[in-house]
Amino acid sequence: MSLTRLAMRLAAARALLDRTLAGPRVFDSAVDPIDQTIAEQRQPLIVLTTDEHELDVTGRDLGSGNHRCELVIEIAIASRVEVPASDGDGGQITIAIPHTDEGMELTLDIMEHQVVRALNRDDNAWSRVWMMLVPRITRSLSRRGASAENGVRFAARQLVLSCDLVETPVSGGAVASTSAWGQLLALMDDDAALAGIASLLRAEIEGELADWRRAAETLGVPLEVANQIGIGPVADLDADPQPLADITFLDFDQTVVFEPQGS
Amino acid sequence: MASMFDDLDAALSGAIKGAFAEVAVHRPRVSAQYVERAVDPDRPQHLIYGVFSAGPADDGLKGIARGSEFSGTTRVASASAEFWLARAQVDGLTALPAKGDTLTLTSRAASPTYAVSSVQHTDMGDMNLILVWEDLPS
Repeated sequence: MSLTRLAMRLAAARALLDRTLAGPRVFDSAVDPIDQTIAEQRQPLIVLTTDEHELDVTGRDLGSGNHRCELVIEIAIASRVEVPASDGDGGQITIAIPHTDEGMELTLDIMEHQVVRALNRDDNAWSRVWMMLVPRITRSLSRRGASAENGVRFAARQLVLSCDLVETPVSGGAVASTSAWGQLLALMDDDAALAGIASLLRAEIEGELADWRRAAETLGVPLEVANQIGIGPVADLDADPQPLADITFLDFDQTVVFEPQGS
Repeated sequence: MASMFDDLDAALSGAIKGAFAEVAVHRPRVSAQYVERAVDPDRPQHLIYGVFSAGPADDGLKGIARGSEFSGTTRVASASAEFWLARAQVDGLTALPAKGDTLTLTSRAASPTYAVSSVQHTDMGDMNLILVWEDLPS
């Protein structure tokens, strides 16, 4: 479906990094490593996934329309947590939240608040890009989970945000640097772990396709049809429309030459 | 008066204890909300003998909570742990284990400590302690 789903998830994961009690333990779509992490290290962690993606399609246009995607943020804890805090006199103290049912629930409440704040607060480049990629959130659902029966006492929270997404740029053109995608790719370029993925995304999106071919691809119509509705070349589908350069009037044996604009 | 069944149970429990039981340090604790559990001054710690067992377990993040299911695939892999006490051992205890107490398996490598999350009794007089890992203050 939409590459914006991937972009939005990456931006959210980066926006949450080191901004909650989970610290650097923010994982994108991880499954197996998380099992080991929570059972052995027992540190708070966050797992981000994107779930259902929905698009109202007109014709065969699979690229544009109202994109809705669920961003699933799972917060899990199976340990006591130490939180730095102020003592009220300018000093620093550490508050320990015990590994009890009440303590874990309290920690989850704080972490959920931190997650929402990290995504919506314009004090971080990744948050800013995430907000550009997600122009509207139509629903927020928080569910809780917990167990102390299978060898580990844990509690979890699942926050599901139903997000509207901007459209992925149409393949074959340049990505505007001021757009949400342009800013995302620039941030990814500066991130050693994501620079390679940025190159991959650029290769998927950018190119030098003629406008009529891009339009046909966007609409999901064959080139023949695009040509017949008047946006392609007249005769040869392998050729692209060229700028009008001259007109020859056969009856008058006269050629009118058009100078390119701006010359 | 003990029945023949009781005699058989005692003999079997004794055999199991002799073959599989290990020593553990039972530390009673008092529980309070929002603070670390503290040592229970009214119930001194002592050694108990029982059979420890642990097997692979797998939980969804939903755990035992009810309500609508979680979407997603994240799971919690762990080892489901229990400590079984035969009736003779239970009868000799001066302080019964309770939820929140800890159990340290001193004969095992690194002496792992578990918390008691549930105490299960049966009409046979034996007792099963459901154990969970707990992150204790260092």
